Amino acid sequence: MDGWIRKLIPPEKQPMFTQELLHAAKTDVNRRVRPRTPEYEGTDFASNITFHEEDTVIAAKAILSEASTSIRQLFYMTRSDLEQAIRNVILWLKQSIFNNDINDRDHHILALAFLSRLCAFDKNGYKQIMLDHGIFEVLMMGIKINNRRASLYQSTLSENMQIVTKTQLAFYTLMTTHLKVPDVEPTVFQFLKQDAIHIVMEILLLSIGHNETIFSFFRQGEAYRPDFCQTRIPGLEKAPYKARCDGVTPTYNIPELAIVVACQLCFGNYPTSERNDTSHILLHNYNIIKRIKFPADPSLDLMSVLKTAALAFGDTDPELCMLYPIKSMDTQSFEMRAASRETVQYMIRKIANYYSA
Amino acid sequence: MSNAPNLRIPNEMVDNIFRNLIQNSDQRSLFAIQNWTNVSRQHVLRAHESDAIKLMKSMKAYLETGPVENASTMAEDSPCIPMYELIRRKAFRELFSHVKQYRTNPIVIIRTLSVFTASFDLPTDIPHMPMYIDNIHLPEKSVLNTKACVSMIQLGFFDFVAGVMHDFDRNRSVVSACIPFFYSVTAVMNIVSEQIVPYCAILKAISSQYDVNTEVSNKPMTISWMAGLEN
Repeated sequence: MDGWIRKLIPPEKQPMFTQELLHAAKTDVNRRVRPRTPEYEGTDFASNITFHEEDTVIAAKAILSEASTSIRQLFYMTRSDLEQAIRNVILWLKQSIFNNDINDRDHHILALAFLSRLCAFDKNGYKQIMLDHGIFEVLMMGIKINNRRASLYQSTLSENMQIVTKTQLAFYTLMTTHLKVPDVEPTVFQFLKQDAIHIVMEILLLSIGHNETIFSFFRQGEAYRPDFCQTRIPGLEKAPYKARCDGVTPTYNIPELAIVVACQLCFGNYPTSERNDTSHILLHNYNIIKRIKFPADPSLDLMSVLKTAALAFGDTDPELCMLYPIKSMDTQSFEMRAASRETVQYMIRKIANYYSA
Repeated sequence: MSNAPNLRIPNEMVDNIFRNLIQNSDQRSLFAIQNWTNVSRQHVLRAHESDAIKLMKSMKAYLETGPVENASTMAEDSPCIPMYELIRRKAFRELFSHVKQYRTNPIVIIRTLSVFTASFDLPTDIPHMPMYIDNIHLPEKSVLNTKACVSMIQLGFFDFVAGVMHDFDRNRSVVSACIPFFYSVTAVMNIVSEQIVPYCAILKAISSQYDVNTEVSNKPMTISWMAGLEN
């Protein structure tokens, strides 16, 4: 039966706990067939299931029907179900974002994760509610404040540094969630109104211009990560993607995220070598970012940041380069990383033309 | 109990009992004791007719079963809502009616949300929570948790908590209870959404195998991955 289920489900769709799910399903079905009575007390319901009985089929169909109804209700919540919650959370973020209390910042992370997760349920409906209540303003303000905090904690490794990194990851996660739409230009326009490109550029400066800052590519090994396992690039440590995919931490570190967001603000979501018809909003961002200067080290330019990012995205570990390796990366992470790598390489080609001209 | 000596408990003795319990407890019990202490300390001190054995027994029962009755610190009109029990039974309708009744009492609100969040296994070490993920990934919780999430949405829990958050926006304790509530519910929704589709596919397979074996023998079994949701 177990092997049969494995054949049934495509490998990329197999859940982490197929065995447990199968056991749970068999138990649920058998419990429905044999209600909890003294004669069945202590029975292993999962092992005693008989597949050829009509009762089993009826029970499985009944559970399936209930589960389908529940999941439909869960996935298709109406706007009124959550609008007030979204509005009040954003309002609270606006009020408390300047607060230096570490406990508040823990709650900021939870609030941002709540908003990020809602976006996964209703692709655009909740995003629109968030937009109506000023989420972009909150995001840009939060990232800006964290940039300032990061520059303050340049030379100290402290609890503050960890919490700033975690909060910044939460802000960037929500920002990238909002950028994951088929037509990205209206969103980019909203970000542009909040001066997003300059705020993202601040992080690019921090990512490579000062090796002392906590958002530096070269300090990410010391920054917060769930697990440190292997070092592949000197000075740059990575955790396995699975360890990062704990539902809160994205599969990127902060400079990687900043690079991807900067590219998206310049080229949208789907850059290709054939695409030349960049809109004036994206072109405006591109023209700003390509002239970025690094006052701390004048020999550096945008190309240096992009090449470092490309190095970071280029996984040398064979396990990470395989699709569907059970232990190291899930499909979504793999696809995200591949798309990001392409985006950065496209940006490198564009910038190379600019510098050579 | 009837043979127990009718002892009066001096304040020092109560203090010693609490101190010993706190020293010999783990973090979960400690939280329970603190919670219980806030609720019942006043009653203990006032109730001079209580005896030591009864007190110790009730403490032991409390530590074993959790906060079965969670009441306000306001001794005179303390609303005794069996929150832990209601949440454990997922009797959200009953719980919701109780909480709406005491909507203006921030202590009841905070405790309800805290007990609720704790019952959804959100640890205090936020936001990275391997323990939480491990616990919530237990598959036998999938369907129950889906039903729980749907019940909460249908009952208007989100709106209620959002309203509370708005009304008590100056009260940091209330806001600190509301945000983890939102987070924990959406975390459960998220994990449930990952599990429910394969779970439905397995159920679909179980239910259709009978048809294959009895009606259409030797027919190759092909089941759509999303079959569980197509019906």
